[in-house]
Amino acid sequence: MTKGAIKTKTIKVNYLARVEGEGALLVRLRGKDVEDVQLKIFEPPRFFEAFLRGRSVLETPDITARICGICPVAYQMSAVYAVEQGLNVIVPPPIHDLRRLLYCGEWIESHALHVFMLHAPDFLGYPDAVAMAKDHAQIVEHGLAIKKAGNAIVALVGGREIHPINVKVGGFYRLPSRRELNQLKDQLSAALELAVASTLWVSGFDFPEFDRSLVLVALRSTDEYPMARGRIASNHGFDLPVTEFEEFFEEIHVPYTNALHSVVKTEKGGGSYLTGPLARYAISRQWLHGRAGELALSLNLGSVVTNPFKSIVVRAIEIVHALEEAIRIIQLYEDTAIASVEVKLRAGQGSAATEAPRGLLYHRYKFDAGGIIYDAKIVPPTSQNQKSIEDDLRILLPRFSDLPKAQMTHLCEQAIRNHDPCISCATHFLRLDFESVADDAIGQL
Amino acid sequence: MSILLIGMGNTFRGDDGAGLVFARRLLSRFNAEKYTDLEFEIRESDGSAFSLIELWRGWERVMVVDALIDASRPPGQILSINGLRDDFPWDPLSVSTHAFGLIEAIKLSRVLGMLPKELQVLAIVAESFAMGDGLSPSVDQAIDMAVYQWPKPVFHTFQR
Repeated sequence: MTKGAIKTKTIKVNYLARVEGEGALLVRLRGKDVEDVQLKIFEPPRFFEAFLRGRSVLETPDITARICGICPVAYQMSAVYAVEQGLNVIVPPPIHDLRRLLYCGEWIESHALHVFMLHAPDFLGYPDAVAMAKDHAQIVEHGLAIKKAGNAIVALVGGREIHPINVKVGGFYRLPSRRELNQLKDQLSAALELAVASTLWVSGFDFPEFDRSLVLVALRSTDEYPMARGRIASNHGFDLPVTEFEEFFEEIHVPYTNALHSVVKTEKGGGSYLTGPLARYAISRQWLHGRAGELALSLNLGSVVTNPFKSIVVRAIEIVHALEEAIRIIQLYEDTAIASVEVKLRAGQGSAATEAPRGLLYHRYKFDAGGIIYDAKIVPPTSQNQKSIEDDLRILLPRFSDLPKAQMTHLCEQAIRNHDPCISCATHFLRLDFESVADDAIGQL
Repeated sequence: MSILLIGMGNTFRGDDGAGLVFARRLLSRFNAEKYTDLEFEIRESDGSAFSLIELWRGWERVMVVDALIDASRPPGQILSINGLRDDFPWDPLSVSTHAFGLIEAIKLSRVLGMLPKELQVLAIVAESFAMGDGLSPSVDQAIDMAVYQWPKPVFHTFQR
């Protein structure tokens, strides 16, 4: 079918490789104009929100940790802080520090996986990390060593390497000893040196020219780079307590995906927003530790990184920061006799947001006097970022519409991977199809 | 010579947890019967490539247990596959919730020279990956039988 003389090009990526999970992308171009962008995530209805109903609030850290194999700690942290907020439980500073240490472990693990295995091959022209490793074996080994350091933290503080079991509402089941923590220091220090070198390595990549205005949303703390506490802030003036999250943001259903899109409510300005490393950096860069902060300065990142392709550099800097933070916490740690504080159940509602590696993770629970949940809401970072990712493509593609279809398809995938979408968070069955980028369906409509 | 056995999967995705359940039940049996002469180390993994490589690095003999989707085979059947074979059956095993997982771990280890000398994959044919914990009865029973008869092999050698 022909409409005038303008060609319409449709790019279909039936399965997105190197994102955690399964997704698909449809882009429809008319000439240089983008007619439609649909990032499809195969997410079933909110299984876990329903699954949590009828369960005790005390079970939330163990249940929600199973939502995502990549970032179980993030789910545990948002869960316990939400329940503790609802029950008016205040954990002592050493418990908070240990939780932060655990979170550092997960940031290190998750970011290392993304930087070295999933994203770096894009910039170096390799189809995947296996091909990259043939020419850059040492770099991949550095990635392994860094991730292993993160694993060691999670295994010690979380109780085991996968699906950590040591976190509870009110604290921990068991505290690590100072001696056990000290044993991590050499490994973390070695990983820190590798992470600094790796940041310099990724900063030398050839980044596509692409800067755009972004609404960046992250936690803002008064004294630390955000992980588990603070207000929700943005570079566009938002500043609200976490308890007002649902008054400011809403999830909307879009017909082509069964994942929900989180957007700013219309009466609050409307539109997409982005969470994750770029947002944390823009809002809290002054709290980066010494070497991470020095890297940001020496690499001239500026106050806000507006090129999403440079997110890999910010992610690498966050690895450096997380390693420095982990070492700092271990150095200051003192054995405490209190692994957890008493928790008294009562009817109520609690909410919390923490910074998962990929961005803001919001939990809210309503529960009865026995602590039994009757309503749960979980908003993962990927559902918050999804609309912003589509916006990236809408703005990006007209500039590259003359590229051959294979290159354009790759560019789309790379642009999506900028934000490390964790489709696994959607807790669905995933189909791994590593080489399955479908042929473009190009034709004249 | 000691063997590292890795159970991998996600117990909240139905039969996807088969590998983990296998490993846990085998460990329970070893503990209950106070085995001391079996040189096994049993570990669990989420199945991500980095994690698998970290686990098996330095080991010479490794056994990985994972779930498998293969509609041509009965649920609960356990296949024994040489993980080092050149014609490794990628397709059936590539259906996994682990995203960047076993296959990539093998490929990457080969490139980096980190592969064990022996790598056996026990692939348990799954019936359902529905969300929620719990195995389907056929898979549950097959694991029980295999653990009960261990170390007597009860596996089907993989053939295309």
